[in-house]
Amino acid sequence: MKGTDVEVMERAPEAQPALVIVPPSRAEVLRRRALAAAKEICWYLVVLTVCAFILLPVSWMLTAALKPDLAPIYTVTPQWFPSHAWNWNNFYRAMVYPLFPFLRYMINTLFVVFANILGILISCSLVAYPFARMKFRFREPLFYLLIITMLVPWQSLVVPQFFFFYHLGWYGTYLPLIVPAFGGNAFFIFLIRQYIRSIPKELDEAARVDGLNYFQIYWRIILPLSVPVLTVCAVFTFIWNWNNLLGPLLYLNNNNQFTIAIGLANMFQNSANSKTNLLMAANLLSMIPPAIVFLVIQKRLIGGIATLGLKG
Amino acid sequence: MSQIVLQDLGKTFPDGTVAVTGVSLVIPDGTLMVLVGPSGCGKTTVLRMIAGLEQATSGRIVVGERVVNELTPRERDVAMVFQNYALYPHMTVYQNIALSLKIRHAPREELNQRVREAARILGIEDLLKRRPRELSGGQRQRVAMGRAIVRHPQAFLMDEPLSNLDAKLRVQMRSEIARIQQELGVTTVYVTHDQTEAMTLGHQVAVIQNGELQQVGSPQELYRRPRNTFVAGFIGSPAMNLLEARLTRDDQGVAVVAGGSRLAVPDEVLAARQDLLSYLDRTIAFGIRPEDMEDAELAIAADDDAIVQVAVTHHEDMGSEMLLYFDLDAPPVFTQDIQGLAAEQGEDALRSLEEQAKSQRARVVARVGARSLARSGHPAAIYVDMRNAHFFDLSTGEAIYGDGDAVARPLSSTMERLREH
Repeated sequence: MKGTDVEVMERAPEAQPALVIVPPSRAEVLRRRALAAAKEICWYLVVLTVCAFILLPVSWMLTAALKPDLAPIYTVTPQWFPSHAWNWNNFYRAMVYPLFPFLRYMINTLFVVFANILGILISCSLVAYPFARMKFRFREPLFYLLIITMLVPWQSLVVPQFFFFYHLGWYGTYLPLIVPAFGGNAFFIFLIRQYIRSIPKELDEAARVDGLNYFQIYWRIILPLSVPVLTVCAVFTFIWNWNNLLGPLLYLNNNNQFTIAIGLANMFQNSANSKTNLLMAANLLSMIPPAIVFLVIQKRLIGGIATLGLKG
Repeated sequence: MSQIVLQDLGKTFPDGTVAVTGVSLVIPDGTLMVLVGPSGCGKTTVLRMIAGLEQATSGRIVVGERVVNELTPRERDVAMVFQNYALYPHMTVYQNIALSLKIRHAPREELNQRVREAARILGIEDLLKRRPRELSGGQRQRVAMGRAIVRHPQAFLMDEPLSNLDAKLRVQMRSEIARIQQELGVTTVYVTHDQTEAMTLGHQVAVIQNGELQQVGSPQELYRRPRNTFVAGFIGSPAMNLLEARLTRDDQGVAVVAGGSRLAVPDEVLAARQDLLSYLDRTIAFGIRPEDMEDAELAIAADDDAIVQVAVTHHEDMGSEMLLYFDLDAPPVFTQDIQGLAAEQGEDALRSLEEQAKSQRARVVARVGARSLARSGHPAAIYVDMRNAHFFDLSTGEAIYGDGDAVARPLSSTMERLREH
């Protein structure tokens, strides 16, 4: 490197010292590349390990679902793959098994889930908006009261709630599973309120000057801008209700009303020869809708905040 | 389109902060009134009270024929342009502009026609399908204006609408706003902290400080006859030089003595400011604008008794003119108002003022002809045009006039009429 320096100086002794750009040597380049590659490999190893932890049981479910009816499943050396045939047919059998109307369960569950989402979105955003934007007496104490309800353990509510709904004559209907959603949910109200507070207040003011009343501001300005947080609430509601076992177990008493969670819990458990393979197949099938919901919505979940770019 | 009258308007926030006190202002129909003052002076609060976004705690607001104090923003029929535009991000430009009409259930035909009309006036017809985030700052500004224009409201309220634009665009949009306001002839209240904007844009300018109205008048009135040191220091750029000086009378007549310099006060000034004589042998605040000084070499009629000998510490050649900075051995005016003004310009300006006060040497700026040969580090003779000098009571900050009413008050008569109702 020094050689070049000297050469430049010799050619133009009076010029200002030239800026010499020294390219890194070949060995240096290789070393840097190797280091970067090693880092990447380590990173992948970590991610793969975590993935394996999560996916291993699922993959075991899959292979178990593919085994024939009488094949042993809980063997001491776990037998990972079916030894003779891969019975993809099991998925179909699980869906149409007459004792346990799987598709019926699915439809029931979807009904309950979407009714809940509707209820949650309407009630929570309607409550969160005034908490975030309006000034009224006892606003803060009321809000804290709301937050405190989150601390009440659900276990302590199960029995009184049951009697309450029972005396209303709602036992054996979907109402106890759906109507509470229209009464709001403290956590979601909190979440939506925080989000609305992050929406610039000037928008409300501009809307007021434009002649919108409070409900119109809520409906035309706040709600469309809250789509990201509403999506989060909808997804949570979806997952909670999809997986909800206790509620349906308490309030539903008819096989044709059952939701997927309770259906799966009942499935093949009490029959003489438990068909674990079909159970696993049904379980896997029941995982598909939440997975689809997540795939469809994940962009919205993550990208939502960016839509709020107001300032230039 | 209608006049706006503010009568003894006051606002005290629930936490006890007094934002505005006793602001009375008549804004005639079709006038562009600029409310100007340093940040936090209450000018935006006044605007928000007119809009109905803030409740006035005292006084009356009249828009057109109606007292609007108790009306909602919706009922007041005024349009507002916000500092950060406040465009609805989820709507297209068209929807943004159309919303207020849609809410009022305007017929589809009329709505469409009026939105296009507004877009045409603003030159944003080709942007109607875009969303706010796809627009540049200047375009957003136009859309915000469009949202106001489309309503044909009683009045436009503008809250620092240009402060988010870069300097070049600001100048362009400034003349644009002036043009549109002229074209539509809508009464406009325009809030800014920038005195240049106020002077260039306003038909009338109201200077506000600490929630109180200091002076209302045309830009020329404010510039030529400031009512107090605050207005004097606030209007004009570079700002007026304000020094403590003594008013004396000797055998050569009345003169201002600032440190070692003696400046004769011409008779015409004494005639115009009769109260001045009662300040003889007292310390007053003496104000002179940079443009009312000249290099004595270049001055056409430089009287000897209006020349100060100075050492130029620093010069700025602007091409068309030259700014000379020098120190005079007289203390600068160091009242609360003036400190506030310095603080507005930044911490450095305030510190510099404090140093000047401590050393009893005021830094003075003169705007002289470009052909001046004065240079940094050299002495110079500066001619002070005393006919345009300003004099203020040092303790109250009030200007010393004494030619009847100190400041013309066109609004007092209207106020009287209002009180009679």
